[in-house]
Amino acid sequence: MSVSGERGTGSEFVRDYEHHVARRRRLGAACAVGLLILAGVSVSTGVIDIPVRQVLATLLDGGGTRVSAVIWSIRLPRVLGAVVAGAGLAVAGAAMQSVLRNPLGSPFTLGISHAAAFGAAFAIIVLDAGTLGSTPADAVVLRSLHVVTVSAFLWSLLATLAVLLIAGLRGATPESMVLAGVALGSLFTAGTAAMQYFADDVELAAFVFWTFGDIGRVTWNDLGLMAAVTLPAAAYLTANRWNYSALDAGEETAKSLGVDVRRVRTWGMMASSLTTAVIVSLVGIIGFVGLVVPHMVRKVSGGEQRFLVPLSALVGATLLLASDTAARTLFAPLILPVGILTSFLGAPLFIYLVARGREFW
Amino acid sequence: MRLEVRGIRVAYDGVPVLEDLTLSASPGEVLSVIGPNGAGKSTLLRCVDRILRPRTGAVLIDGKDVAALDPVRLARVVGYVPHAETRGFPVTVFDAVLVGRRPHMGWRVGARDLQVVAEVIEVLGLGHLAMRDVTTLSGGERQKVVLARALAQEPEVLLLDEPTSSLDLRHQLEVLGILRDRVRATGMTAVMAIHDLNLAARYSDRIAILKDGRVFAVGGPEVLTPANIEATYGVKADVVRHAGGLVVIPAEPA
Repeated sequence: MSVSGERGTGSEFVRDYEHHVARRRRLGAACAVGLLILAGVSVSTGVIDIPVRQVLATLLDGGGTRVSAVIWSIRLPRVLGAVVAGAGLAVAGAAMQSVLRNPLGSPFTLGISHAAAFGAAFAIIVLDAGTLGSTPADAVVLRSLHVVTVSAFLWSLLATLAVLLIAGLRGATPESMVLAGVALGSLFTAGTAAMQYFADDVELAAFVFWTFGDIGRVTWNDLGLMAAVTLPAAAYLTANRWNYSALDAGEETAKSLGVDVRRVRTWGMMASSLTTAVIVSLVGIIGFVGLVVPHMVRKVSGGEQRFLVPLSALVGATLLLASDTAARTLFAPLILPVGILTSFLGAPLFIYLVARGREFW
Repeated sequence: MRLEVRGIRVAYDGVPVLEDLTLSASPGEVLSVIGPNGAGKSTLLRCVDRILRPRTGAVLIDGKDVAALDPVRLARVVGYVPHAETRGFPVTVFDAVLVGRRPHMGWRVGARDLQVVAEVIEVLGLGHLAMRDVTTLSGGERQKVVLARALAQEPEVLLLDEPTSSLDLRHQLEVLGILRDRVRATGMTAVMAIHDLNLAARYSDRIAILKDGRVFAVGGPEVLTPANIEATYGVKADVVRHAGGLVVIPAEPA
């Protein structure tokens, strides 16, 4: 079958559509530029202000000054950490929503955050990894942070596998995944509560401290680890964008378009859960980024999968970086954990998106 | 391409739905599949597009068993319009139709993909809605978008499950008219499950009546006889000739 193109009919729709696509590209470029500027501002502001010009000079020639030490060992890991974590959480949320065809898909709905919190509690309370110590800056830190991180990661991985396994028994349908996730979430919450009941006050304080998501913990190694999962996950989801678009049109439609629905669902879940598990175990619980950002992107750019993943990454990075910068400068010298700020910011934002109309889901 | 269904059997949870069903359709032909609820119409379509796999028997397209084709190759040949599927997140009409190009597209959307989509949108009269969000459309318009998506796929065999069920009178005639013209113009094979016997009589080249998972009768529209209708639907009906076609006037349950 062929379509005759001679009449030139419909060329105006093609033109309209190309304008539409070009607008999305410009939006993406604007977000990227905005993120770069914000990153520059964020590196230059803090307890000591460093002019942007000096930041650039330091980045270019390294240098061994006090300023360069602040930039390389404190500011830069933190700024890049916010960028990577924000991008990763947003991309994971977008993927979960597409895979589950459900606007509520997020690390919370699927019990992954709960599992990570359980893992942290397990390490602190049962493995005694989390006695508190005082730093000169008079802030509390966890001593065996590595044990806590590994435990949080392993438990969230376990939750992910359990969700996939339970869902797999029922043909990996969105409903079975959401139900399995909700059930696991409450199981882990119960487990965490039980451990807290038997914990002493120092352990309890250490656990509560861990749950406040905080980018300040991120080291260069952590950054490498987060990037090593976020980038392949984003690449996989971008490469499969037409499969997810087809899935969005309906399961049978996707099958009739040659999509291996089961495989695309399972791998999408795997990619997004792994990304979430790594990020949450390294920086703690940062709410709402994974849920709100994809909705913001859909609201502004329409629902096409092609733009959803890259735009979500950019907007997620920008949102978390802006929040973290605000969290450490607004009440200086007090530094707020960014997880608290994103939750304060995210809840009203989400309510606004819901109230503004259902048309985007 | 010639479609042949050879002796397929399908059961859901041990309950047989299709029993030794054999049917064929030729290029350039609209074959309507009719029959009461539960006769196996949708199941038959799903087997042809390999969404379901029959326990025995085979579906052949141009002599090739669909079970042996890889999914993308199959999607280039067979298009499917499912019955009332709910979509997830909203997109523009153009994007919803563009997804139909998925089996043909590589990494990027090509100029030909855009051209085919624009052409199909034009043919279905959706031009004024091209940049609208699909979730804001009426049921009839949405049904047209789904058909447009399947046509953009440029299939050689098009399967339609109740394509007119949510359409008003005018849209029913429009959609089936467009479908018949496309079939004539391109030589594709269309197989359509449909409840409305008068639409089936009017727009089909051949009609297959299914009952209890088997073909009860197959042939031109003249298979719509009062006897056949009573035997399959359990309804007494008159069939009258009107303006060169057949019209079924149901009387009462037999």
